[in-house]
Amino acid sequence: MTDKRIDQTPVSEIGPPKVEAWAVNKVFGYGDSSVQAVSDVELTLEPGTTTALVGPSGCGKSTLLRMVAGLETPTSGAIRIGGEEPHVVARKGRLSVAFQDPSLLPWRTAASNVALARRLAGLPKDPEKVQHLLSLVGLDGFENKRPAELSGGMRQRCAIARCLATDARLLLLDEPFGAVDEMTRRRLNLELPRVWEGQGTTTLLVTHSVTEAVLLSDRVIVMSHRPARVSADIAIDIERPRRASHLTSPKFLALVTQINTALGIIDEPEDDASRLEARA
Amino acid sequence: MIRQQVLLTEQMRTYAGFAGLLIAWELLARFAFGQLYILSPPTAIVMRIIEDLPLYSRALSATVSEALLGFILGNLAAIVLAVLVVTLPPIERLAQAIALVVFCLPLVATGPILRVIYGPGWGPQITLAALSVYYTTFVPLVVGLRAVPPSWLDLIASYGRGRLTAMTVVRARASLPYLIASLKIAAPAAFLGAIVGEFTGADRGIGVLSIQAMRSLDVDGTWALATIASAVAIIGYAVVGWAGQLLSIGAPPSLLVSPASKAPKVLWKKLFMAVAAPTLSCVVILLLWKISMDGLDLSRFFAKRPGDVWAYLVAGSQAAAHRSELFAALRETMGTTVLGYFAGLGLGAVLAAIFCMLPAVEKIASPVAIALRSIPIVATAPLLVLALGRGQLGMLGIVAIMIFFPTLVSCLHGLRQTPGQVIDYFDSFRAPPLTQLFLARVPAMLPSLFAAARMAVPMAVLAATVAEWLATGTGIGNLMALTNSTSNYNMLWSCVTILTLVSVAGYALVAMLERRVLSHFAPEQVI
Repeated sequence: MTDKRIDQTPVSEIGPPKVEAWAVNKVFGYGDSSVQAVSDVELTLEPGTTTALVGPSGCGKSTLLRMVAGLETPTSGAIRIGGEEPHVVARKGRLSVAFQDPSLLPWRTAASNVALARRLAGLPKDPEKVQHLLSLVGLDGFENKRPAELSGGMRQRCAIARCLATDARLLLLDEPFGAVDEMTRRRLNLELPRVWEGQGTTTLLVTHSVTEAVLLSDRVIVMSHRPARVSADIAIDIERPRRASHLTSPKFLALVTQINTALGIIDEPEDDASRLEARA
Repeated sequence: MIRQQVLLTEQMRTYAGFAGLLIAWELLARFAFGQLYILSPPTAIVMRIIEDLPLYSRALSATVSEALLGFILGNLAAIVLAVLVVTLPPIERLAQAIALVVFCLPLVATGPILRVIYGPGWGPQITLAALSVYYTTFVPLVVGLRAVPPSWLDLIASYGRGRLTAMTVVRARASLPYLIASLKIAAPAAFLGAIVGEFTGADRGIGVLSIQAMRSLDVDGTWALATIASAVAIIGYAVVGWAGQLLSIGAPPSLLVSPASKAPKVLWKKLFMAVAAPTLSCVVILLLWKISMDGLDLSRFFAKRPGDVWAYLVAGSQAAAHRSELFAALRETMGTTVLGYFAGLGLGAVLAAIFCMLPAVEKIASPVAIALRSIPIVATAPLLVLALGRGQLGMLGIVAIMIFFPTLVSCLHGLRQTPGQVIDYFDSFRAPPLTQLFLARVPAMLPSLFAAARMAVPMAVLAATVAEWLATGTGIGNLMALTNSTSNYNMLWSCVTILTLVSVAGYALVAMLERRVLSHFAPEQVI
């Protein structure tokens, strides 16, 4: 495949980008049947940080992520990744999206699904890297299996490996563990961030799970229901790497409570929780 | 082990079904219809084939070569067109319209016209073979190329890649099950096209021998040729299916559903789609017609232009007389055709429902039906003429049988699509079989029934005109045969134009009804 990429700078020499969104609006449909999916969102993702977007279903958080990925264009407002437009960054293969559905091509083996990302990004083949990523996500010995022969969790991990195959410095994770059972999800939550934390990436994570958001991110942004607006912005100052033991720490629980309150899942912080929060 | 045994008994049942059929046929032919010049016993057919093997194999090699070339050309055209439509959505409506019009051309009349254009040789047979496969490949392929999970396309887009990459990396491979399934149907269809081409004046081939046998009331010969044609068609169907299995390509969920295109939401776009798009398609088709005739510099004597047909039917001084002659013949044809169409559809759907109620019968009958489905019925028309007579009944039978088998197979497939959970739900109430049939299975069958009904419209016209051309001596088929032999090409082209219009209108009518019904019963099929 001939490569007409604009910029040939090796991706590994580029640092994690800053992502900025100004007054972003997104309206679907026309006239009476139009739906305002995202309303006046202002957002800055600092380079090298992980930010989680949480909010009720259908609140437009996935739409926001898709706009950052260049899959949708804002109706008004602007999004810049390291000063460039999303679709330009996408064309350079410098962002990577993990979708809710692992979206592996069923006729390709695990290894060739991962390798496909490099081909799509216009990068040279690198079987060793593919192999390395697959063993990193624990798929040693499954390289030549097709998706139908893998379990749900394995498929999800394969999709994460594919997401990492291009050394993109911007990871956009749209509910990547949404289709996995609770136990597998918790394990992936703890294992997988180690794979990309070392690389220095800016990460945007969309999730339904408050625990997952706190466990993975440096910052959690809570969005309100339609139209999606930022209703709370909470910093998560828990040291990395995050471990299972964090899940039961008072600080962790206080943050979970704070976010649940912002989401309206809990009406009033209970006494214990607010005391914990105060201490944190 | 147990699984193997089950498979074995199932296979044995199928063989037993075939064997039973053959024995009944032999007995009937020997003792009931022996003197009627209708039915030949299987043993006599086999004897005849062995006796005339050199003659038959020469004819067969000609017909198979024509069919093969037509198969390749028609399917290539379909693939190119489908890929174009999916990569360039704006041309879709136009391409669909042109594809449909070409599909609706009455092959019987196209044959003689192609004959005068090409002169002697294989040209018309190959063209007709190509014409009879390309639509049934084009429609499912467009559906298959589109039936890709949106997240796969998002994946491509998230790396900044466009339609071309989506086509090569995702769509091409994802549509293979659809392609294989339509190639399976195309194999017998190409054979049918070649034979229809031979009916209308070739010097050799199975079609030529069939007509000779029919005209000389050679019952054994007619049966022998129909048997050969059927066997070849079934072999073609099986070979493509086997190739698909070899490549481990599964079956697509549903075949021949109408390719969904997004309905526009804005009013002016809706109006444009309703009025301007069909008009534009008509203009482009008429232009293509004129340009291709002019471009090939074909004599105006036999290669008529749209203007000639207009003058003949509308503007000219004799136009009223021409119209009344043509429409009288059309009326005569349409009565029987419509009757046969509904008889075939109804019979197919009802029998499918009965099979569904009696699983034991289905196990035996279903493989037989699938095998018979791939028989080019029109190629066996001479046989049906012998069996059913030269009257309207024969024609009705040909039309009904032509439509019956595809409908039966399509409906059986649809009935099997009923979700298992729905059946479980009905079972949990011990719902009686009939309740289950009408409330759960028939709604699941509707998309397949309508798909069959849509595709059956041009098939019915083809069957009716072939029957009239060969046998009954009535209707528009006969009119075309007459005008062909008297070189009245104005009338022939007018017949082609009107019959195409009738087919397109019938197809559109069924498609409209389909939308109405499916938006109620299977909204996921209508976008």
